[in-house]
Amino acid sequence: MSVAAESEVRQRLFCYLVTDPRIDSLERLTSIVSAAIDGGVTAVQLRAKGWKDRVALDAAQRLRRICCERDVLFLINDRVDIALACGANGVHLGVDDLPVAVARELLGPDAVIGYSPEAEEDRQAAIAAGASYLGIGPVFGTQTKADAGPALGLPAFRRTLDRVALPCIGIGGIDQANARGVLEAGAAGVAVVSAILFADDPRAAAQELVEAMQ
Amino acid sequence: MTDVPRLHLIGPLGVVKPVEFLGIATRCASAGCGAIHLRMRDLSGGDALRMARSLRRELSGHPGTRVIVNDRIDVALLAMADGVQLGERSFEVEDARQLLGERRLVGRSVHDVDGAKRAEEQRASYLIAGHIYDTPSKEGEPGRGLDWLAEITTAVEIPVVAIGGITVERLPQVFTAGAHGVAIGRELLLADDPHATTTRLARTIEQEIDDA
Repeated sequence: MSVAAESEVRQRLFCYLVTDPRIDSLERLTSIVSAAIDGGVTAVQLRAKGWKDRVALDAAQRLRRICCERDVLFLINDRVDIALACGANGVHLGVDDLPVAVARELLGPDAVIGYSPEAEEDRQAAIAAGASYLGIGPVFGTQTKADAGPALGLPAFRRTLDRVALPCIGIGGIDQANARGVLEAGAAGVAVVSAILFADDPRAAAQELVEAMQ
Repeated sequence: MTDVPRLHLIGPLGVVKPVEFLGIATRCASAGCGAIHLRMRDLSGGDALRMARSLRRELSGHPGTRVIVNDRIDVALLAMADGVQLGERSFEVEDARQLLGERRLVGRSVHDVDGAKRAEEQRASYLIAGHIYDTPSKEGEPGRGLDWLAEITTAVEIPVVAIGGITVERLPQVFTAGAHGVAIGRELLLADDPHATTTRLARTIEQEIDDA
């Protein structure tokens, strides 16, 4: 599945589920992701930091199959080799990971490469290096990532997006109650972790999130 | 199987700083060390790539010395390394082989005969087997010994590189047990003169091969 066209990437970023390495039972993870896709999730990013590489690849292969069948964008956090080995659509990189340009070198022009910048100059460099979209945050306070830094708040989030020509997703503390504001600030979509992953009913949680944004 | 190096340096292992390691690796390479392994589990992808590229650059004058990256196949490809070293936590050999192609080395660290056979079936280029002798890096775990090493070298046809507490004095018995080569970490990393130690190791290995 080639999804390089910017308009198509933008569409698929709409409801973006990021997994948490603390959910490390592959049975549980695949069942949550399937349910979330039933509920309307359009993109999935696998985060497997701290896992054994072979377990991460196993998870990636399973999730890739599920996402591919349902036409959902599937990305791997950080590890370009895992993305290559499982045939994911691409990767999502942070400032400490492999640089965007070299990831592009390995993954090719059709891959989707997301990037989480920390500073203005990171943003510009990533765009020049060929990033497909940016993850901007934390929009709100979050408990999921301890090192995420202070929340931007919607006004600063909106100002950041105004300066970026690429599709952007908001991340950090986003849930069913505040997602609409993130879209109204100009985001192509919202990235959520706990609001779906740790919900009692991930399918219903995803559905509520999508409905709140429409 | 002559293209699998006989003498492997493993680092930096948290024993020396990354920048010191580059210097040690270069001195070992100039004395005939055949492979430098980068073990950098705690480094981020960006740092690991910088490190691997620096090593590649430092070794540009030593085309006979291979650069082997642990675990990270993406880093290995981007740094134009000569191969990867995999362990029990890493990618399976066959998955790595698919990404790396036929020309690069895919080494697998093994701790038992079954693992050794499986790695060979999956077309590993060579094995690292150990640890053979007691070593401070595996405190509380006694070395598996020379008989164990001989079991591994008998069970597979691909080259077996012995690791764990190997010194110049121990080379004859290790080669008698069927080893193709040896991998050395702290004995080289902490040597007063890594170049001289490597020279001694390389010479002795050559003698062992000639005698065999």
